[in-house]
Amino acid sequence: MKPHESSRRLGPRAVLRAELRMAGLLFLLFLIHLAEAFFTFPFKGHESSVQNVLYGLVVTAPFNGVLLAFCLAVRRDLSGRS
Amino acid sequence: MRFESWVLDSILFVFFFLILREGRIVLGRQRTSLFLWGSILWTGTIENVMVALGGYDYFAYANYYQCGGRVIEGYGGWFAFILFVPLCICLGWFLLSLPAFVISDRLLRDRSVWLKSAFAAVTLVSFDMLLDPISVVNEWWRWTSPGFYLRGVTVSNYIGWFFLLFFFGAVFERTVVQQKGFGWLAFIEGVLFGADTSDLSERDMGFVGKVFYFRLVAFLPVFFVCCTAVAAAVTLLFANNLGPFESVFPNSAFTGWIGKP
Repeated sequence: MKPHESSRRLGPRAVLRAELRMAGLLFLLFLIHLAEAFFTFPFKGHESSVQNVLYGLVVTAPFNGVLLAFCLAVRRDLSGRS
Repeated sequence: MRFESWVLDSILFVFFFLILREGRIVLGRQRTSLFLWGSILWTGTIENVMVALGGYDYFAYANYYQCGGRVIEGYGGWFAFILFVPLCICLGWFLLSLPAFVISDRLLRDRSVWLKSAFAAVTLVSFDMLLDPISVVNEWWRWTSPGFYLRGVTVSNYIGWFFLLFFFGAVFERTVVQQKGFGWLAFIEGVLFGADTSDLSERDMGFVGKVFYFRLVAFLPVFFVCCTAVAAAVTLLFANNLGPFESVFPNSAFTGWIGKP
């Protein structure tokens, strides 16, 4: 991505940190929904909320995998700039 | 335990402001602003069309919301609406799709626009597969169309989510980030804007924004055709729930298709 006014003003490290915080917020939102899945009624076709959580972990595996790869890539870039 | 719709509303509003703050640092103030208003235009239009056609609804217009067994007149369970769709749904799409876009842009840095968009869209669908079943059991919204249902949610919903970010991400990346054009829109943009829009790098952000919004509108029919074609194919081949459904819009397209009991 081409540099923009924020990266020029704040510097690339600040942008990388903001990217990490963004990923952290997304993961926090995932955890909140996972908690909701546990405390709420069983989904259609489920018999317990534990099944909800297991289902949630399985279907969001691609999301979490991508999030992990992203965090590692940003961390690598951050340490490369230090 | 039942979670009320205002719980989701509150969570999405809080996260919207947090993601917006980080987005302004990552993408820059102007690009993030375009992403936000583009998201509202894009999802607000598509969601309202789908609700009006009877694909799903948010209960609110059916005087559904209750407290202590009494219907609360005038309160639909959501803080604010854009026509038939809660505002937080559009903001929620923004707060999920912006990070998905940033993630795909970093992981697939020099790949094609379409590959990046598809990658971001798959990431988004993966997250939504957890959110939507929660919404169904808590009656935040309901699906009122025939289709292949998985945990109470029609697979057409996930197909829609995929194409939502697939086209939006591609238009945003090509127009706002790369500042280039789409060949098939070159002629009409030339007439409409009186300028060559194949290279926007010398243009100010205001002009880029106008072109971006125009391209989103131009891609709306493309979205509907692709989404309808794939969703219809899945429904015809694998439908496990043909209704009857009771949409709050009684003469909706889907209700008319399957017929009333």
